[in-house]
Amino acid sequence: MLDKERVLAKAKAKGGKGFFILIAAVVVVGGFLLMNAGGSDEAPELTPISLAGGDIAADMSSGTAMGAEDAPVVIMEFSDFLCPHCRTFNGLSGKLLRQNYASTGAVRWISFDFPLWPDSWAPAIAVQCAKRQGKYYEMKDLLFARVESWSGGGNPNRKFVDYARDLGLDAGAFKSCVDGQETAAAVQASRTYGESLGISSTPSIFFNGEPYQLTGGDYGYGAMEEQIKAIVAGGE
Amino acid sequence: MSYDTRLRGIVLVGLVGLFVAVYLLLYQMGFYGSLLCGAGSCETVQASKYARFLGRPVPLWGTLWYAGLLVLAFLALGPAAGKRWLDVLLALVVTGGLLFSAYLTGIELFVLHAVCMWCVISAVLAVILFVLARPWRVLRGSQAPADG
Repeated sequence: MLDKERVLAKAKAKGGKGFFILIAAVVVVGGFLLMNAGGSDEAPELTPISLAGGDIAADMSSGTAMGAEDAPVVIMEFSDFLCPHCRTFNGLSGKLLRQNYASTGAVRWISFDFPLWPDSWAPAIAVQCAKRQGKYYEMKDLLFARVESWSGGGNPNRKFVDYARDLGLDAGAFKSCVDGQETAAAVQASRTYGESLGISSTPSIFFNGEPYQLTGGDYGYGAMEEQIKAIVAGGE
Repeated sequence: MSYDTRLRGIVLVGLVGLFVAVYLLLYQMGFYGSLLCGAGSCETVQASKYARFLGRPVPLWGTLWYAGLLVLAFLALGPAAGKRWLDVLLALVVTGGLLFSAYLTGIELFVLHAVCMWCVISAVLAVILFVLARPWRVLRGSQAPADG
């Protein structure tokens, strides 16, 4: 009886040892695969932007408009997502003017993407992909608000897809769009139109067709608001 | 198959599942640029709105589920061996996981029309865990798990 118990205990101990060896093997193999699954901890490099030929419609239609078509004031804004002043302008006067005047019919606001740097193309393509799903301005505000998060280097598209999900977009379609750079031509058209107007820096604003110098700590909000009110009052 | 052998099977299968879930979680966190996906449409599934549950990535729930299973199986093998409450808890957790896995597979097949290889692997693991844990016997209470 004692011998039988000893044999059973020995067999159990042997089985336990084998079990822990198996666990160790799974941990080692699993850990190795996790470490090497992505090749590196970096997202893949963005493929170079492939730009279209000369058939780009580089006109005002390349912008993204909001507000009434027959509004007495047309404001065109050219911005770059990596430009700090564009971010401040968008967060202050841009957003307020769109909210307070584009929605009332006083202003037609047209945004153009004007990527100045190689890394500025990915967010510009992303915002155009959001435009396909009707959320250009929502994505624009989000990209500016979270610029520190996505501009750290590498491929930001994964973060953009998260933002698309946050905005309630079809993230699968959005992902295909940004990964395939499907809207590069739209960005290119927007930029080419800006170049045709002589733009070389951002943010660049055009107020009823005339270049507009942003002044004041409010990035031109007060001054533009005054002019808008005067034009609207004059037209009545 | 003895009770201990089945618990050990749960630990090993659960460990494999934990690695799968952690892999998908790390992908969703942006640690990997793309998923290794021999067959299927992993990224379509991972980018869909169904890749989140209660506001958190599904792989996070998967990681917690597998980790919880491991803890329960280890407890059942050692310090809390033979405790009925532990067997019941394990049976409930395994059943819940299988049902959730079935729901996700249904979403892939009938809503997204895209299948993620890693999700399929996890679903298969959930079935194996279910078979190993034998919740239908535990929850019925007519047979002690140790009887195998």
